[in-house]
Order: sequence, then structure tokens, then C-alpha cells
Amino acid sequence: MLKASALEYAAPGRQALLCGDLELPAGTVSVLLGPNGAGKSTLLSLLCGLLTPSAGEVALDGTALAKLPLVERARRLTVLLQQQPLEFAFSAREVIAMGGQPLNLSAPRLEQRISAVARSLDIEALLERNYLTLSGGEAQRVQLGRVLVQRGVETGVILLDEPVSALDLKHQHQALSYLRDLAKEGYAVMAILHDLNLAARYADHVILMQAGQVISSGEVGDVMQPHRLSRLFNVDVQCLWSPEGLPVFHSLSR
Amino acid sequence: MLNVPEGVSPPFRHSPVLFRGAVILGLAVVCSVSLSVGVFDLSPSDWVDPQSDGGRVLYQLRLPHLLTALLVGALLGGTGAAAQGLFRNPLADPSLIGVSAGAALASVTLMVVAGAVLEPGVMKLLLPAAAFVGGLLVTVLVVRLSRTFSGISVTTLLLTGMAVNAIAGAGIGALKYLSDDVALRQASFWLLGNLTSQGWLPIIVLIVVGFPVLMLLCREGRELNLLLLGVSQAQLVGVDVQALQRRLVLLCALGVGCAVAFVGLVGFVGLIVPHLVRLLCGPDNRYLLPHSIIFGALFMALADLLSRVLISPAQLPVGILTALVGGPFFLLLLTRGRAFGGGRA
Repeated sequence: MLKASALEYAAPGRQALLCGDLELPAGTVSVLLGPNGAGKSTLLSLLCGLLTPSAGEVALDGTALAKLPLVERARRLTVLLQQQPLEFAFSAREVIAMGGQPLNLSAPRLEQRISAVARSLDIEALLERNYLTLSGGEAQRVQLGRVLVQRGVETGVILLDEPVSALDLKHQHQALSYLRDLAKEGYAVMAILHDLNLAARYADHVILMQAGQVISSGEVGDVMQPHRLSRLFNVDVQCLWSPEGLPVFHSLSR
Repeated sequence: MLNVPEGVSPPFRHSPVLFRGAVILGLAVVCSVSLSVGVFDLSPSDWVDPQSDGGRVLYQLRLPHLLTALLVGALLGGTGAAAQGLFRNPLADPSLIGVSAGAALASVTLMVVAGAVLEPGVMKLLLPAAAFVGGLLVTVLVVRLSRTFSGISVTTLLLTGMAVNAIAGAGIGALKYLSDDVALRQASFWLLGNLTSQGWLPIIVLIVVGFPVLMLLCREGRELNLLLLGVSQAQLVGVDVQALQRRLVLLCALGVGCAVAFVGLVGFVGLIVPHLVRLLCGPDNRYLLPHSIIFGALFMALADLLSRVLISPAQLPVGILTALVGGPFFLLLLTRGRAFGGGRA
């Protein structure tokens, strides 16, 4: 479980962040929503220790993140960032296998893990391809695969910055369903998404951010109210209901 | 990158042992030819009689000459591969951070300022020391200047290296302008890069300093791979990026400084060798580093052999040859090499 208490961040030239207390419990999928520049990626960087908070602290299973050695942190906390500046012609399999480095798994166990992740993300056919020749969506699936191979052996925290932004519809659902399955196994998952319908469909908890502050967090039904989302994104958001009883968000520019 | 063709993988990607075998075989052939080719014909008995004329040629000229080439090639190849990983750029080169330029400036200063008063023997000893110290001082300076609150900034490091290169170039130019004819010729010759035998002392130094540097570099392959994912992402996979960058910069400085100290400026080896190895074996640094070391040794031994036979009995400075052959060859690789899918070059 990842827990942030009284988290604040301020740095010259960057959006100040006042996040307060935040909890990512094991076994749940949390989705972070907010307009561009709201501070979602900054919050994610604070939660994974890439940025040091100016006040407050982040604790991983009760231990302050700052006190955990990097390798120990990497064994329990795996993170997908938006930027993936890989410039060398590794095969997709080699890229994915890099995720296994901190875990010290035996070769067969690592191979088993890679196969399971590759099957779940539909990247088996890409494994032997040159990473530099993959399309944007394929590369994103491979990087997501690498990050999920790195997930803690029994349990752990998975933080993802826009993991499905370049994926087609089928692969968006496939990836998010897989994250749901991992949450059921006991992992704490948090993803930054922009699609309200995907958020409503796959999240247990939703966190809304605006101008560097968490303005609301809680269960999907409580937080994802059309009037609140309309104010947050500055568009008219309406909620319809599908015949299956699922909420369908619909937006119109003002 | 859409113009990287699919399905063509580096030929030795899955058979590193085969590649190593081929390079070692190549080394054996080049070394034998290199030892036997020259103005003086050697007989097998010269190997056991170091006091004979042939024995002296072998033990005082050809063997130290060849060993210097092998060691310098190994150092330039290994440090080149490490620098490309460190900068996360397949076109990086240790000389970019100013080590070679610093070493060159210190050596030329010594030649011009003290060349007339020092005995040639003493000069021979002091020159490598000066080059080594110059290279190291520049590295420490460059690293200090480019250290930011979040670690070594690669962009600042490269820019600082460029500035140092320019300043050192201006310094060398001024010194050459002020020097007398003898010092000017000596300095110019040294700057061209040459392997003219300086006896066994350079070899001992190259082994004592170079071997540990290369061994330590080879241990960094796994973390270098992770660094290629990006500095932040590498940290999230458990790599202490700042410590890794510091180690790599120091090892590269030591390796390159040591090589430049004894043979002057030999360009393109640190750039072309790792690139060729990547095209042949793929980008995995766990193999790239050791392979670049042995391939660098082969490349340099071959360049040295050619520099000796092309205008025999005279000898072409090897730096001219590596740049003359390496430059166009590298351009060819840039345009044709993508067929191997070996890198975004």
C-alpha cells in the first residue's frame, strides 16, 4: 500500500502541488483524472520518489520511501512514465526483460512472467521485433509490459502515467482489464487516464486534480458526477446509461 | 523510425561466442602478419635470441609496437562503447567530453615549453604523464561544471566538453605558433596520433591502468542497458544513476587519457568500433562492452599494420589512417547500416 501524508511540492517554474493525504490501498485500481497541467504527473513523480516533496512524506507499506534503497523500492513499486527515450535497437523481448532486473528471478520464472504479461497485453507477436520499428501504440504496450514484469513478486504498487493513451480500443480494454486482474491479485494500481468512460469502467477509486490540488477523491459513483466533471474540464459533461446499466459520459464543448 | 527494415537482425545477435571466436581468430592472423612484416626479415630463431639483430627488432620494436596498438585499441573501443551508453546516444565519443583535448594541450605545452631543455629520455617519460594529468584535470573540471542538483546533466557535460575542446584547440594553436621548428614538428607529429615504439614502459602503464579500467567497465553492462531507458526510468528500475554516471565518466577519462598519453590523438576508434559491434551483435551492453574491447584491439592492430605497409619503409601516423578510413566508412554505415537494424544512427 502506498500512502502520502500532507504532501506538498513547490519548485521554481513549476506548478505548486498541495495534495494532502492520499492512499492507494492494495487490491484497488485508482484513476487520476484532471485537465492538462493539473499536476497529475508531478503527483505521480512524488509518489514514486523521482521528486522530493517540500513537505509531507510518501510511505510504501509503512516505510518512508526516501529511506528505502533504490533496488528495494524497484522491487515493490513499478512505474510507467510518459516519456520513453529509448534510442537503441533492442528487441521488444529485451526491453520487457529489463523490467525483471531488480527482481532477481530465475531465468525460467522471468520467462514465465514475460510470457504471461505478453499474452495479457497481446504483444506475443511483437517480442522478436526491433523496438525502434514498433508503432506508437505497440511501443506503449511493450513499455507497459516491461513495467508490469517489474511488479512486486507477491504484491506491490503499480503507478502508470497515461498507459493507454496511444492504444486502440481493443487494447485499451485488454490492458485495463489486465490491471483490474492484477488489482484482484492484491496489487495497488494507480493510472492517469483521460477517458472518463474507461475510468468509470475500470476504477474503484477516482482522484480528481485541478491546478495542483486534489479536489475530490473517493468511489467512482460519488466522485464522477457530471456537474463536477463539467467544472473540472470546462466542458458540458452528461451521463447517460447504457442498456447494460453502465454509465456513459458524453461531453460537449461550451 | 520507419526506415529501419524489419526482420533483419544483427548477424551475431544470438551467437556472441561465434563473434568472439571470429575476432580472436582475426587477432591471431593480424598479429602474426604484423610481427613478421617489415623491412627486416625475421627468422624463427630470433624469438629465442633477443640479443640477435632480429631479436632486437622483435623485442624492442615490433612486439611493443603491436602490444601498444592492441591495448590502445581495446581502451578506445571499450571507453567508446561506455560513453555511448552513458550519453544514451549511439554517436557519442569520449573525446566529446574534452579528455583527449586536455591531454593534448598538456603534452604540447610540455613539448614547447620544456622541449629544448629536457633530455629526450626524460621527455619520453614526462610526456605521457603530462597527457594523463591534462586529461584527468579536464575531466574533473568538466564533471564539476556539469554537476547539477539532480546529478550530471548530459547536455551540460557535452556542451562543456565542446567548450573545453575549443579552448584546448586555441591553446594548442597558440603554442604551435610560438614554438620553434623542432618543437613544432614534434608536437604536430604527436597530435596526428602514432604508435611509434616507445619501448616497454607504455605497455606496463597501459596494462596496470587499462586492465582494471576495462574490467570495471565490463561490469557496468547491465546497468548501462537500464540507463538507456532514460535517467528517470532507470532510477525506477533500481539504478543509482548518479553513481553510475560518476563511475563511467571517471573510467572513460582514465582509459582515454591513458591511451592518448602514449599514442597521441587517434580519432574514430572510440566511435566506429562500438557502432560496428552494435551492427553485428545488437545493442546489449553486457556483450557490447567486452566485444568492443576485443574488436577495438583488432581494429587498431589492423590499422597499425596498414599504416606500416602502405608507404613502406616509411610509416604513416596511425591517426591519419583511422580518420581517413574510419570517416568514409562511418558515413557508409550511417546510410547502409540500417539494413542490419543495428541502431538509430
